[in-house]
Amino acid sequence: MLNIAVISAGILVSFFLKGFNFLSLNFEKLGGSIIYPDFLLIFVIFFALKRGEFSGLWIGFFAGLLEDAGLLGYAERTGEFLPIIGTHSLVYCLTGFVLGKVNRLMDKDRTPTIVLLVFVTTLVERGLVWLLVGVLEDFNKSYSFMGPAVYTALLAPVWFFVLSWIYQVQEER
Amino acid sequence: MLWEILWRNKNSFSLTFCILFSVLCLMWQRNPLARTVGFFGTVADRASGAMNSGLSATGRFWVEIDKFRELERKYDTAQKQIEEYRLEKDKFDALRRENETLRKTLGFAASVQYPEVKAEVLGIRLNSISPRIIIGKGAESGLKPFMPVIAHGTDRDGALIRSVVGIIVSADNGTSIVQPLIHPGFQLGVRLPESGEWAMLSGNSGNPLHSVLTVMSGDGSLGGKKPSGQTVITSGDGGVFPAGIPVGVIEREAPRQGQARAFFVRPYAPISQLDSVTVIRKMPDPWASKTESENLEEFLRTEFGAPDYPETLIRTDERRARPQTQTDAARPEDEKAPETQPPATRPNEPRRLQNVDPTPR
Repeated sequence: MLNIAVISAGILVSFFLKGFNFLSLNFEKLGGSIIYPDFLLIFVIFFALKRGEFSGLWIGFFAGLLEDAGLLGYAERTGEFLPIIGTHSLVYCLTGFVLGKVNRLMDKDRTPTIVLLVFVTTLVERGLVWLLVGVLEDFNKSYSFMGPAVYTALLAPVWFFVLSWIYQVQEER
Repeated sequence: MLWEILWRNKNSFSLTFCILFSVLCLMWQRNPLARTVGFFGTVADRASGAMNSGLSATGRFWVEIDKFRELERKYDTAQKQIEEYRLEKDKFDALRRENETLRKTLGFAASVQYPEVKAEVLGIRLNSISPRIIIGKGAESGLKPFMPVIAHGTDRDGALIRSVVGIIVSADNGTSIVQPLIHPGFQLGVRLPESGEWAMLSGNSGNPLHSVLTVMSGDGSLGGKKPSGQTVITSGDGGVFPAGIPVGVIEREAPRQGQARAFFVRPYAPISQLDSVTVIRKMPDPWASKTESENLEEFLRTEFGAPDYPETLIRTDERRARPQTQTDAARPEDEKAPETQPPATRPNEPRRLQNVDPTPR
């Protein structure tokens, strides 16, 4: 029970870090935009790799629900804004499940592996979310893929180290 | 026993549940579970905003002390200016009264002043697929969805102006979610006062901190004036925003939207750095929501009454229905009708005007 509470707190903190744009890089003055790391996705990947598919699936699901909660879409039939629940929860839970399944096939303690894995996962996750929301609402032409994926991947080893130290995760044998 | 079966297949059951739940919520957006999750999300957003304010407060502490001394000096100067402005206020009130009298005399609609509510920005989430701003005022302060949100920004000359931020999309008791003008779903009717053109502003620009403007009127030449640097203001024709509020400035040309010219617009409001916003407590004009639901035929009614359309167009003329491959020469003689004579009207058919060649033969 304590374990679940501590992990829930971790999900919330990751969500908050993402929410108040912690460690974001602002390139507005250079004519660019703002790049944000996806702490919530790093958290899901970390637990999927360390604890396997069951934990990865559920942590991904709840992290996705939290992320979905602020998504609102305009319903033309009723003329009101309604929450779009299900996009992030679906993508995050599948991400957690797949990474939990394949975690034994890779050397997950090596930094290059973590960087590459987080980069690819972030790209795929953003692509799927963009596609799902696009089908339901509008395709967001301003949604960036490469910048956040690179930045999240570069931050991931440091964040993995911090999370390992906090959680002292016992790997699933 | 059942628990053992479930536990043995926990991965399969969990995966099925999560996928089914997500798909169900996507397909049925009004379900009570989705609304509950939405509520918790708003709470989490609010907590995130509060945490942001708390953490940034310590960092700002020393900066604020430096500012405090400077503010003291400015305060003294401002006190003197206030005395001067009191006289200006009297002049302003006199001008407003005169304006109201003239409007009444000339039969113009009275100018409307909407009440405004200031709100603190709790969180700005531009990194999401659906960018949003969370503010610290909600339904308790009279805020409702579709109310326009503005902020103070600076124009090209550095003067302080009011500028468009977005619209409220959701309001609970103490917080509201604002859809900023860089949101892909945001659309706003605007005007370019320098060239007099009408345009449509959309948040789906392909550039995260810009909006895209599509020129709807004229040939898109903007009256021969240079596009970059032109100010964009609200037209007031969308029914949501009052007219004349500055939106942003045209920066450069964007890829054409079909045949229409398009431009990237940089908003005046610093969307990523907002501390507070002002909500105009104005609901959309009644016609804005009516036009879609009402029968559009009512707009075609004239002093002659409602238009009367035939139910179906039936071609009774067999020759017209025949394929065009058959030439006139090949037709039987009895089918060749003289072209100069109008066809005889049938007794029950309404009379129609004929094309008559007025030139003498």
